[in-house]
Amino acid sequence: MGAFRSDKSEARPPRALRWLAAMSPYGERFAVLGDLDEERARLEEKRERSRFEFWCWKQILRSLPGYLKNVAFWRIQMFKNFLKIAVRNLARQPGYSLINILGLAVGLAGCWLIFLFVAHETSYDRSWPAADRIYRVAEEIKSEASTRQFAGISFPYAPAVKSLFPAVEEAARLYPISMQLVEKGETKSYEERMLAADAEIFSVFGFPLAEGNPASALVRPNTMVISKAAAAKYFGSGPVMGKTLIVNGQPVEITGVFGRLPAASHLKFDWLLSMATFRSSLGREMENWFNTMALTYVKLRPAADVAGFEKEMSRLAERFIGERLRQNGQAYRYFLQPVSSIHLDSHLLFEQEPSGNRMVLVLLSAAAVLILLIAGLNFVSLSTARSARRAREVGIRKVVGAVRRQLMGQHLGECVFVTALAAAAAISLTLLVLRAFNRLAGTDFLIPDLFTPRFIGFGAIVLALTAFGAGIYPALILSSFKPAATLKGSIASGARGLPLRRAIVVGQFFAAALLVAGSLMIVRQVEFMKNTNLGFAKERKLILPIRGVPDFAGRSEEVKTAFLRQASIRGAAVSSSVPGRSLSNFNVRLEEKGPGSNWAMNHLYVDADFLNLYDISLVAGRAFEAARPADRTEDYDDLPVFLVNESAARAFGFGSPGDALGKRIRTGHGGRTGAIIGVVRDFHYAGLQQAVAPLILEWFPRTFRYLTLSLAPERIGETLSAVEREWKAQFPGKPMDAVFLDDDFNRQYRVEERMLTIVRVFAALGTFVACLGLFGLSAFMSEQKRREIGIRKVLGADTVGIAVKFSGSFLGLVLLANALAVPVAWIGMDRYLRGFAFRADVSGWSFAAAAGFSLVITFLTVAFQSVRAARTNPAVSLRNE
Amino acid sequence: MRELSLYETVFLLAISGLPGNAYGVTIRAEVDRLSGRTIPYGTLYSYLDQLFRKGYVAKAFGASTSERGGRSRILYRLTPAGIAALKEASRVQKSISLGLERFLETEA
Repeated sequence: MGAFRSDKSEARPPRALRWLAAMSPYGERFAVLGDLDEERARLEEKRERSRFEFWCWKQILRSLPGYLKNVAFWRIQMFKNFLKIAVRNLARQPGYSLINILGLAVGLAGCWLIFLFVAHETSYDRSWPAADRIYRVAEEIKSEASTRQFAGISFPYAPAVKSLFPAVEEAARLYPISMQLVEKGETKSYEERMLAADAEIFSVFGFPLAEGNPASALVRPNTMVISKAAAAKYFGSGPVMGKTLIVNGQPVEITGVFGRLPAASHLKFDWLLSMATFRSSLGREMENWFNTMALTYVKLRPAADVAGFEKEMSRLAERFIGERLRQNGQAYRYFLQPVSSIHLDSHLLFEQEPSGNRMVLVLLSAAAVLILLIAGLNFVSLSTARSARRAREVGIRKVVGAVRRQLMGQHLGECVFVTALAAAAAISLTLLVLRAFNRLAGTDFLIPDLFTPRFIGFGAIVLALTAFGAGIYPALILSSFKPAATLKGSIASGARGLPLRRAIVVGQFFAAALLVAGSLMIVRQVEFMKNTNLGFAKERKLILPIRGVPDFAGRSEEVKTAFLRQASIRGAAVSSSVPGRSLSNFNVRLEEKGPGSNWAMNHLYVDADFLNLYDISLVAGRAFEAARPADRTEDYDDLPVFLVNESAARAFGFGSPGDALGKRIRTGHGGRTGAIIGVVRDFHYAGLQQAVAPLILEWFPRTFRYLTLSLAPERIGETLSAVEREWKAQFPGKPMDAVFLDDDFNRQYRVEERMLTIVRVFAALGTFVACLGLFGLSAFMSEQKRREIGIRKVLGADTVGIAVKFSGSFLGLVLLANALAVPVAWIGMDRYLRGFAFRADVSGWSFAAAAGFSLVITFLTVAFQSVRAARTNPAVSLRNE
Repeated sequence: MRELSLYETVFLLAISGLPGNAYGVTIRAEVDRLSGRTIPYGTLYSYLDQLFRKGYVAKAFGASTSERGGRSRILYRLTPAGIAALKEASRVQKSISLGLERFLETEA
C-alpha cells in the first residue's frame, strides 16, 4: 500500500499539493511535499481520502495573505536595487545617457508633432453632426476637347435634387462672394470670410445659433448671420441682434449669431448673407443650369442608398437642359464628395481653399517613423556597445542566483525607465516648441490638443513599442552572458554585437539620407516653381483690387493717368483679374464649327496696356491698341475682337498660331461673336502645378476689377506712400488693399513651402539624432581602441593617419547607406513630382549633395573622436599593460 | 542582538521542545499547541527560513521514510545564538510579567 502510494506521488502530486509547495522557498519544497504526505496519512486515518485535497486548498487560501506580503516585500527590494543600479549606470556615463535620452526625446517630440498635424489634417469636416451623411455635389463638364471638374455647380440644382429625390433630407447652397466692404460709421474693412447661403445650411451642417432662429434667420433679403468674432469686431460686447451694418453699400440686418465652428473644415466663414440678398444681382443666373457658381451640399437620409442616389442624380441636368447640352456637344455629370474627404482629396476648379495633400501626410508620417527609428536604433546601438561594461554585474547577479528571465526583466525595465525619462523630456520639448511649430505648419494647436485621450493612448503605445523594441536586443545579449566568462574578464568588450551596430549605422544613415534627399528635391521644386520664367513679368507689380466703385469702368483711363503722374510708377494697366487669381470660365466655340463643339475656357479681360505691362509677347497678329477704339468692347451689343493664347489656338485645332487670325469665335459670355486678332505666347497665369489652360482675352472695361502698377526699383517705400495718397484722392472712403504680384502669386505654393519647411526641420532633426548616435558610438569605439592606437603610435603612425583609418570604417558605412537610399528616394520623389505639371527633374545632384552632406557630417563627428584618441599620449594609454 | 518577535519566540520554543525531531509537521503541531495558532503550510517554511537566515536555527536532512514518499525531512535545531535569544526573551518576558503583576496589585 505504502509503496504504491509513493510511486504515484513521485509521478506527479496533485495540483493543490504542487501549488501549496510552490509557496515555500525553493529549497524547502520537497520537504513540504513530504510533510503533506504525512498529513495525508494522518487525515486518512480519520476520514476518507477525498477530504485531503480540500484541506490542501484551504491551506492555500489561508497562506495567501502571508505569501503575497512576502512576495511583494522581495519584489520591492529587487526593484529598489534595479532602480539604484539603473540610476548609477546613467550617472556613471552622463554622456551616453544624455545622448540616449536626448536623442529619444527629440525623436518622440518630432513624432508627436507630426502625428498631431496628421491627425488634424485628417480630421477635416468630421465633427459636424452626422458628417458621414453630408456630401458636396460637384460636377464634371465633358466636351470633345476637354474634361473639367468643378467644385461649384448651378443654382437650380439644389432645389431640384431636393424635390425629386426622397433620399435627400436637406440641400443647401453656398455662393462665395469674397471680399466685401463692411462699414459701421467710421469702422470700415474688407471682410474675406463671407458667403451667401440658403437658410437650409443650418440643417445640413447642423450647427446651432447662439442667437436667432435658424429656420427664419436667412430667409429675407438683406439679412445675415455672423460669428461671435465678427460681432465682437464691430459691436464689442454689446447686443447685435437686429442691428444693421453696411455691406457693399447696402444696409444688412443681423438676424443671428453663431459661436465657434470646427476649425478643421474646408469651409471658413464669419459672415453668412441670405441668398435672397443676391437674387436681384444674380438675376437669371439663379435659373441658369450652365454656370458653376454655387457650392451645393446635401444631407442624405440615414438609410439612403448612396450609390443608387449618386447614379440617379448624376444625369439630373439632362432632364432640364438635355437638348441644349446635346447641341453644345457637352455632357454634365454630377458626383458626390463626402464632406470629410474634400480637404485632402478634392482638387477641383474653384475650391474654396487650397486643398491639403495626402501625399504630404504620407511623406511626413514616413519622416516621423524614420526619426523615431533612428532614435530607437541609437538606443540599441549604444546599449549593446555598453553591454560589455555591465558584463560583470550580470555575472555577479547570475552567481547569486538571478535567472535569465529576471535579468531580461531588469534590462527591459531599465529601458522603460530611460524611455520614461525621454518621454518627460519629449513632453517639455514639445510644449516648448509648440508655438514655433504652429508658425511653421500654419496650424493653431493649443496645449490641450496635445493631451487628448487619443494622443495619450497613442503615445503610450509608441513608448511601449520603443522601450520594448530598443530594449529587447540588449536584454537578450546581456542576459546571455556566461558568469564564468564575464568574471574572468574574457568577454571582449565591444566585439559583441559589432555587425548589428554596423547595420544600425547603415540603417540610420539610410533614413537620414532619405530625409535629406527628399528635402533637397522639394527645395528644387519650389525654387523651380518660383523662378521658372512664367511668360510674364511679375516683379515689382503692385496689385490694387477695386471694389465697390460702380463707375470704375468709365474712369479707368483717368485713374491710370492720375497714378502715372508719379515718376516712380512706370506703368499702369487695368484688368478683370490678375495672374494667380481666379478667372471667369465660359463656353467658347469656333463659329465655323457650329454648335456642338464647345470648350470651357478661361476669360481674362484687359486693357490695351496690359500685355505691355506684363511683358506678355505675341506670337501672331497684333495686340489691342489704344488708338483703335474698335478693339474695345463697351457693351454687349458691340462687335468684339479677341486675343487667344497658344493653348487655345491648339484647342481650336489650328496647326500654327497664324492660322487662328481672322477666325471668328463665339463666347458664352453674352453669346457674342468676334474675330481673333492675335495669339499670345502661353504664360503661366495659374501656377505651375497645372498645365497652361486655354485663355481668351478681351478688352471689356465693364468687367475691370484690378489696377496693376509697375513700380520703379528704387525707393519702393516712398512710392508706396505716394500710391496710397493717390488712392485716397481717387477713391475716397475706400480702404486700400494692395499686394505685390509675386507675393500673391507665390501664395499658390504655400502648401509646398509649408511642406518644405516641415521636411527640412525633420531632415535636420533626423540627421542630428543619427549623428548623436554616431558620436556616442565612435566615442565608445575610440575608447575600445585606445591600446591599438597607442601601439600604432609607438610604432610610428602619425595622428592624421590614425584619424583617417579610424574614420574610414564609418565613412564606408555611411556611403553604403547613401547608396541604398538613392533608389528609394528616387522612386519616392518621382511619385511626388508627378503631381506637378511643370517640375524640376529628379536630379542626381540632389542625391550627391545629400550623400556629400552626410559624409561631411559623419567625418566631422567621427574625426573629433578619432583625433582625440590619436592625440592621446601612448605612454598614458599603454600604462596599464 | 535584536529582540525576538512573538512568532519567533513561539517557533524557537517549539523547536527547543522537540529535540531531534523538529521538522515541518511536528513544529506546526507544537506551535499550535503552544500558541493556539495553526500555521498554514504555505507560510510555515517562510517563518522557518527567516529564523535560519537570522542564524537562530540550523538545518539538517533527516531520514527519508516511505510514509513521506521517499522525501527526507528537514530537521531544525537551535543554534547557540538561538538559545541565547530565547534566554534573553525569557528574561524580558519575566520582567514584563513581574511588572504587570505589581501594576495589577497596586491597581487592585
